[in-house]
Amino acid sequence: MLTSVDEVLARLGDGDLSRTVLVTEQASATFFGPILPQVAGVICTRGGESAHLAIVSRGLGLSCLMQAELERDLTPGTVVVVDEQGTISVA
Amino acid sequence: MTAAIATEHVDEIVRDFAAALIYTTNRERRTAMSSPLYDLPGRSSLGFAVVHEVAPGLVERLERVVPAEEIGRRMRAPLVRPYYLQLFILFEGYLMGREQRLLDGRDVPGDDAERTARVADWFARAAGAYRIDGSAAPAEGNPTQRILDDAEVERWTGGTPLREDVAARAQRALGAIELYALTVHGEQRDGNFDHGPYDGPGGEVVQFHEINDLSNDFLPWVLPEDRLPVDAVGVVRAYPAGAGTLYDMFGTSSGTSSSFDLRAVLARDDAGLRAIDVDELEALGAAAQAATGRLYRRIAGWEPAYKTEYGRPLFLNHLVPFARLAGDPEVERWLVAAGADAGAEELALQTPGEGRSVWTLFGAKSDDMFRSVG
Repeated sequence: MLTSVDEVLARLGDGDLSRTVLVTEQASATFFGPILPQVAGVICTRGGESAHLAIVSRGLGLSCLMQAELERDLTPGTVVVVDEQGTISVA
Repeated sequence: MTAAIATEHVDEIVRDFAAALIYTTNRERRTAMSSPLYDLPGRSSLGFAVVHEVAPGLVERLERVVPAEEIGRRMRAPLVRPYYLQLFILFEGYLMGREQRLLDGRDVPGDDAERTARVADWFARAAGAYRIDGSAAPAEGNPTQRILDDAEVERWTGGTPLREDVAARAQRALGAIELYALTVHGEQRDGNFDHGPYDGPGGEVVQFHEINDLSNDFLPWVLPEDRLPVDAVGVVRAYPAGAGTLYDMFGTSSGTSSSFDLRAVLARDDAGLRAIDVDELEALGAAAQAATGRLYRRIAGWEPAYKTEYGRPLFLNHLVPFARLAGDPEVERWLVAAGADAGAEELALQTPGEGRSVWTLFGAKSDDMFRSVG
């Protein structure tokens, strides 16, 4: 769960993010600015289809779930699978 | 003449605007958004106060140079800024700033009725000349945003659709440019403009999807190296016959099907409007992505107070294009000087991170949203 600018900048130095799914409660798109085009998908616990994060994710061709209900915390490194129905499961 | 506009007519313009605004916000079910980078409600309330202070003087000066209707006509072309959002912000910002003063129990200027009449009249005439249907806002029930005549639409829709793989590359490049535009505009969806629906040559439903203000030279956090080499880019989308799209007062659209083909990729720069190929669009997307990273680091370093104060140039940036379109540098010079300290009183009343009372108006009925001038 990314909550601060420092965490976003730290991910920027992580190298290949193409298998990374962002998990966040921020529906802001600019908050993830530098890394958003590089990730595989987005899970957001707030917002809706008109949220900036949803709009930009759609434009970038990213899989994006808004208003996701998480039954447990997803810590960095957890492998998740998001199916076409929008169900998130831990692999 | 503006001075002769009847109070009843001013109130009617305001009521119609409020009705369209509430229809748009209810339909989109927009929710409050926050960001660690910005004080979003604070910056917008500051912006409203700024617009409330400067808009009457601006439209008065614009009117001396060109009529409002001529401004609207000059806006009628692909990839032009100002676009509908700037008209909307000019009027919405004025009304929201005025209403916040009234909610606070603060005095409004002694010539409030005349100022409101001037802004309302200018907005209605400019927007009516801009929109093909002559109305000032997308209508409830059938919200459209047509601004181009048939010949201009035909000019860009007759070509062969882009191959699917090429169109996918274009879409991704546009996504990077859209993110850049959001970053340039401090998480405001400024620059992102959808207009239509237009009739395609084979019965298709055509929409122009544009992103403008890409070489901004007004916002202080956008440095020369962050500017893209074109002012705007866009694509012409053709949807199957019968496809429905809802256009809103923010210049965007919703309910759009993902099934469409691309008929043209466009750019506008100092040389004018032209078709570009996807390679050039991808180069612009790459430049946008690099600039987004630089802007992000710069914005992340803002002092806490500036997370609100940036609302002043952010909202003035909506008004500057009108001055430029009018073609008289004196108007822009006046606007920049008048806006330099505008909104100071509003800023002093804010508590960082807390929305002001004007935001509750979005839960109001349209007749109650903005108080009458009568």
